[in-house]
Amino acid sequence: MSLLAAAVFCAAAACAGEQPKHLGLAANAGLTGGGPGGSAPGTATAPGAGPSGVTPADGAGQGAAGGAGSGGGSGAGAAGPVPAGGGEAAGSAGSGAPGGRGAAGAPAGAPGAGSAGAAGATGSGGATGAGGPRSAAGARAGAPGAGTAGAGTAGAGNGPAGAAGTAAAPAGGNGGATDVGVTADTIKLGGFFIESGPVGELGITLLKSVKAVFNEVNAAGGIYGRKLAIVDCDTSFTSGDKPRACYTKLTQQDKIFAFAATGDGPAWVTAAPLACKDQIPALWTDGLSQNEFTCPTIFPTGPAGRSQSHVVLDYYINKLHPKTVGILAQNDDIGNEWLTGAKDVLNKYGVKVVSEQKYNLGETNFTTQVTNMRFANPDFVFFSSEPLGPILFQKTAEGQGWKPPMPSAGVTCNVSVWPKEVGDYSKGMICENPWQLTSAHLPGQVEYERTYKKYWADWDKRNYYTETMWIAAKATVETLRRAGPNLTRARLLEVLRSGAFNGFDTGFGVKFSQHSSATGNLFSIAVAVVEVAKPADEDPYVLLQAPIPDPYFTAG
Amino acid sequence: MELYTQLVVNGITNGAVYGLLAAGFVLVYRASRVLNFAQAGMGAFGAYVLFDVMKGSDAGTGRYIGGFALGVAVAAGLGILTERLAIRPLRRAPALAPLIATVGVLLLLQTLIILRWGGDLRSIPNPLPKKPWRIGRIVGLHSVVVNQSAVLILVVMVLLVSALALVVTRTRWGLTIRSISDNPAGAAGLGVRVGRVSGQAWALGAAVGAVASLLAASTTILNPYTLFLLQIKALVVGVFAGLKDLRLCLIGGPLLGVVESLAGSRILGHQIAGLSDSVGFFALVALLLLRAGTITETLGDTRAS
Repeated sequence: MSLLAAAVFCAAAACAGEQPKHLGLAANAGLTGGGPGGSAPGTATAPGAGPSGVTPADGAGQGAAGGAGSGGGSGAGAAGPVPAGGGEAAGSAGSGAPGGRGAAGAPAGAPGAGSAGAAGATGSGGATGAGGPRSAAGARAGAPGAGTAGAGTAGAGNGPAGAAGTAAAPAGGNGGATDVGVTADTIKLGGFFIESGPVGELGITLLKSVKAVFNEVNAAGGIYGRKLAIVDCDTSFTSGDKPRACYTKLTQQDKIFAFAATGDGPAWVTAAPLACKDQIPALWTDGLSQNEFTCPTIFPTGPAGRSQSHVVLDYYINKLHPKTVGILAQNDDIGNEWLTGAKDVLNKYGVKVVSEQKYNLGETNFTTQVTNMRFANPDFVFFSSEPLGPILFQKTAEGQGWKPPMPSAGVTCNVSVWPKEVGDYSKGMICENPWQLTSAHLPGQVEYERTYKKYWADWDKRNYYTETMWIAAKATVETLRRAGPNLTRARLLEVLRSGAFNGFDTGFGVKFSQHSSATGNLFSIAVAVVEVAKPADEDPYVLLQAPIPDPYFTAG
Repeated sequence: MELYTQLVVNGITNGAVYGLLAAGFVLVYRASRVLNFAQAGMGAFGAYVLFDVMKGSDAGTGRYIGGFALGVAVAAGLGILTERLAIRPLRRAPALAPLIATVGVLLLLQTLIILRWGGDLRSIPNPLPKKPWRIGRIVGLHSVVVNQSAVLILVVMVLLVSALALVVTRTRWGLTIRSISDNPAGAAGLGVRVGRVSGQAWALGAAVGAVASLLAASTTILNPYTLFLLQIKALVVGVFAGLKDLRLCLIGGPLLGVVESLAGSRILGHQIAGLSDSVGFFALVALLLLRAGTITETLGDTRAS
């Protein structure tokens, strides 16, 4: 089976078949295809996904590279006016068949659901139907050799993440222990979480978000009769020894099925190469580390760090036209990721970096950095960093009676502890947010609030990281559901790489836009821009710009 | 010129906290021959008590002084408890045992703090002045400023460490401390209640360290971990003082602060991230080499028995 054959699903026309240079993904997707067509029998027995199914079934008509797909998915969204098909199936074989009909009679809520590759040219890898409705400018549908396995993906409308996401056990049983970490009763999922250290209090809410989702699913019976068990390991927002030890524990001692909905970017700097080498799927990581985007078996949820810098700085410079900037950067891989993105934009507009100050996580005295920056006299300060350093930086700057002429900008002021601790000094600063603000009360956000409050009392500690993990957990549930009862790692990867999550609605104002190749996966490039308007308020932010795709996300 | 003047001013005021912490560290060492790494935890605990008192208040001066006194008292109490429960039972154990015990107490205190207050960032509402003084104007360096709170900490450090040095060198109690430091067995033979005096020194040392911790936490931010790094720097200053001479803490703290501050700036056109914090460790190694004789003498196996 050529399950890992590359598939490219570019929702944006501009990226047709190409990969972003800055993500280090392959420039020419589809090169690794050419294996035999998928031969996995269609297992599309899962019930449908999102209840509303209002999302166009991007990538419809995919798959079907010759396999013995056994027919359409059995269900879609309950409402689901989803246009079926639509994939520009230019491949020579097995054009994606229209999906099966939804359980509620909705027309084909699944993207190529069932993918009955009837005419699959076995062994030729004749790819079919890559791309989707939005690939008008020519998604490279049917690129030779870009065949995806013809395993029938479960009926899957890309409805909002608020879907219930449970699935009843099949009458004949769920197959029992189908792979490592899977039994008839449970699916053991592992995750790196920040549970101690300088940002431990912030980090623990990420785990709580994941548990809220899993608790809800388990209470409803689990997925095909299996309960979800999250095995967390505290990596304390660090790279190196801790994540290495956690990786070993989770994979060798706990024997997890996969990493899922896991939120510690620095930990992934260390763990990603290990998981990649061992081919242990990591579904819906937080996306903070660049390493998460350079492995075909890792599937990040949020936008890359440099995309966050791109969007916020592009907005800022176009609005305020600064000439000089001082940068405070966290001195590690994550900080460098944000910093690289920042410099892309600063170079483009010719904004001069007059001072670049770095600090190590855990540093508590910022008088030197503030002094160096103050004497360089930049128009504004940009923070390529986690929140703790900049909070101390701003408090110190206030103590020196210094405030730059223009408001600050950064990538993490959307953690409410920042304006609360710094107060009015932080007023007017701008930063990114990967999703719509929760104050938008979108359907997914409403469900998020309801469910989180049901299990935990600290709703006030929510922030965009917790939102990302919530979305990640919802996507995890959906992935497992779509993988069907006969759950294996190979099947999981097949589902994730099939493009079935292209257009997946996070419920937070962003739909996934999948870019997958043999060297990495990317699902979200959208970033919003927010401003600290009322630092003392429970909700101190206003939305300046709704999530937009990273304008620096270029093809070629 | 103005930049480097500002960095020196920053260093002196930053170093005041190191000097004050080091004084508490040295005092405890003189009385019991134990490096008290738990001091950071005791100070942090006291700071959280102050936080509880000030939480949600209008940051009134009276309330702050009351909360400050309570926080220092709690830290002193923790010092007594630590000496009585973790150190005294190890009096005859190898020298490493009580040191490890203080690390254990530190971890215990950090855990208790997290259980009681969580690991989140906290700000202590306080009436300390937040504005800078433009001290550079006097000499035409208009950009050179000093934060008023930092000046207050510096003044407190000078007064407190000087007073402590006087107490140790000029009072009967100080004489007792010196006697059990120099010859604990002999002092005990002369009827000095070594354990009791040691306990008092632990209380006083913890209290002095807590003053530094509470002031540092009030002017920056509080979480269970940030004060520990300060403790390491206090160790550097303590070694500079030969773990003996409190007066040297007055100089050592600001000196380390200035070195750190300058190390964080551009040196020969290059700026090295993390050098500012690392320079203290280089200094520690250098001091141990340069002052090997003094340190060895001080660290001699003459622990109270």
